[in-house]
Amino acid sequence: MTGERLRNHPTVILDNLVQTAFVIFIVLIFTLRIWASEAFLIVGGVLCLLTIMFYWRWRKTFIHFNENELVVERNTLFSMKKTIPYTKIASININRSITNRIFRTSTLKVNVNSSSNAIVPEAVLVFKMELAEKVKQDLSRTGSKDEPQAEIYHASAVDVSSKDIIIHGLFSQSTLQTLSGFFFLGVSVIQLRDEMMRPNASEGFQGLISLGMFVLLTIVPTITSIVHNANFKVYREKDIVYLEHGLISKFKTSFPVAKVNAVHVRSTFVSRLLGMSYLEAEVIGLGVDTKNKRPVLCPLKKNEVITAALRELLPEFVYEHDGIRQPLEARKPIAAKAAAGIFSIVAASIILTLLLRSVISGDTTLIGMARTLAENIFLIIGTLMTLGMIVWAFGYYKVAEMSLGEDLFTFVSGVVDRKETTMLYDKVQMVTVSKGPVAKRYELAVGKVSLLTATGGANVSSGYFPEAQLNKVHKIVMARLADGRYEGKLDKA
Amino acid sequence: MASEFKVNEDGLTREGYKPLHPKMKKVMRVTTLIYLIVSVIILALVQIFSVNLGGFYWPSLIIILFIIVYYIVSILIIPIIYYARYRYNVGNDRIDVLRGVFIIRHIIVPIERIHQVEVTRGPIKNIFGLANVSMTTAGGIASIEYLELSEAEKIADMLNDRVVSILKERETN
Repeated sequence: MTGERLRNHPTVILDNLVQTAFVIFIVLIFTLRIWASEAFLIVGGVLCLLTIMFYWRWRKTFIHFNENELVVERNTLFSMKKTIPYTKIASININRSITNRIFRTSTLKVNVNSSSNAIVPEAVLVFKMELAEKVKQDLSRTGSKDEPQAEIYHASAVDVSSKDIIIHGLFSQSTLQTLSGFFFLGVSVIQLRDEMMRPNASEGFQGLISLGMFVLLTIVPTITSIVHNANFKVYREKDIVYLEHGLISKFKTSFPVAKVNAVHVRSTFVSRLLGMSYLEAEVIGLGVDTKNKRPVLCPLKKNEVITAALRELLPEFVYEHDGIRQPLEARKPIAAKAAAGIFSIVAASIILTLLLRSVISGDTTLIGMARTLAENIFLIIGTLMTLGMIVWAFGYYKVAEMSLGEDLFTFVSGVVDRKETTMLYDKVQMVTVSKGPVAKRYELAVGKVSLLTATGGANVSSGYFPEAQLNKVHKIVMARLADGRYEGKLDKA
Repeated sequence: MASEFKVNEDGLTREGYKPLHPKMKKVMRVTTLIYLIVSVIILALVQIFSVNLGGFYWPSLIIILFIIVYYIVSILIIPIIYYARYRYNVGNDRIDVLRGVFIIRHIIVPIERIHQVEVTRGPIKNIFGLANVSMTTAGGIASIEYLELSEAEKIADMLNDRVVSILKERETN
């Protein structure tokens, strides 16, 4: 590819037009009633102008594959020249949208390790399918030390069936989100029943809003997850991990192992009852296609399968360790935190209930159970949150763990939905050790590690551990930086 | 005051950390006062509209009272504690910041991880000749607040030089 100068496939003009037309169409819906014909004329004119603009932009945009870097250059009114060194590329994704499928093209999304552009690709290139594959292979090769992979069949490192994807879609959603969804379902049933019993049944629509919230919180994420993760395949070749999935839009991604910042083994409450968990990786750029979610390396499977998948795909993130539990004294700051939380919840729910009762006191349309529910909604939520806080306090003490290895360290957190995060010291960007007045009395603190993640800069927090223990994290980071074992030098080695 | 915050005659803690300039308390107070005035105006408007719409909700007085108490504490007490518990150290290889009112945070930023250094100051800090130094890493942004402008620029220059030399060192390796 070196030295070649290419243009994007002309279908980018169509793609841009379709996207813009969609936005204009939405605006049109709201303005249609007032000035329908004028609106169509204006939109038509705008689209004609945009077609010329997008064509001009396509014609003046060139992609250069130089020896050491990819250059995207645009010589329009707002000229732009973007240089991406191959060594800085964190991941390359191939997407095939409906437009791509019609015209047999692929969209390549190139991402670099940058927190500011974590969910926006650094470069978006559209080529014919075969050319896109070749470019991806070449870029993957130049970004790593390995030879290019021939287009041969690779079996998935983990056997993932459609049933697994459905189970993942159903049980990988956060428990809080699922419970909130079912709370709204319960509310909607009561509201709909009351609305139907009214003399003028057509007036009520609050039940439908609650039902909509249930759909939004539970049904939509489940279906999205199933559609997104269908046809799942993951494998590793030398130091590159390849990931493929998607039912309607196809996603093909690859990333060098050196660009993985951390791995999470996650389990929700229900999945833990089933002895299952799932594996995620923090790689910049992989959040682009997962709508801000971390890329799944293995969907919900039995815990032993997840352990095997991690060993197979990312053995660099496997180390023998025994988790350190929080000391007994940790119960005191946890209890203090829970007490402060409960006090705030109780105060807020009482004030909000009084406010709400004042507001709805004159509303005669609210009757029966719906009125009782409306009057006490904040008390119900407050009671549930107080119970949640008590459960959290007991669970938090039992769950939080940490372990410090030579190259890796792990934090375990999450009372209901659990997360075990294994991180490389060399990927740590910042460390914060915090201690409140109660924790300070017992020389305890909470550690927070800032990392570059798939969705940008993010923090991973520990439980309450001895301050000296937590200080080891930044001491190891600094020692590794001092003796040259840090990321920059390792990448060059 | 906890021993980690006590300063000697050279103005340094036993670990070599520096305190901020005492002017920062004035800046915090003026800033909070402005927020208080804006909040009072908003709350007054909300109350006027509530009464006009036929309802004055007495529980909202609790919220107003809480907000006023919060601002009074923020003006009278918080700046004193914040000043007493803010220490920073710019080392050869890292930036250390100790700060907090109720929860003390020790923030450690390896200089190797810094991508960008910025000196920022709003209109109030500008009046008092103070500025913040913001350091961007791939994992987020850390800052040293309420520094004297000359000190802020000195730290920013030093960090910029250090970042450039690290990059050059990496290139040659």
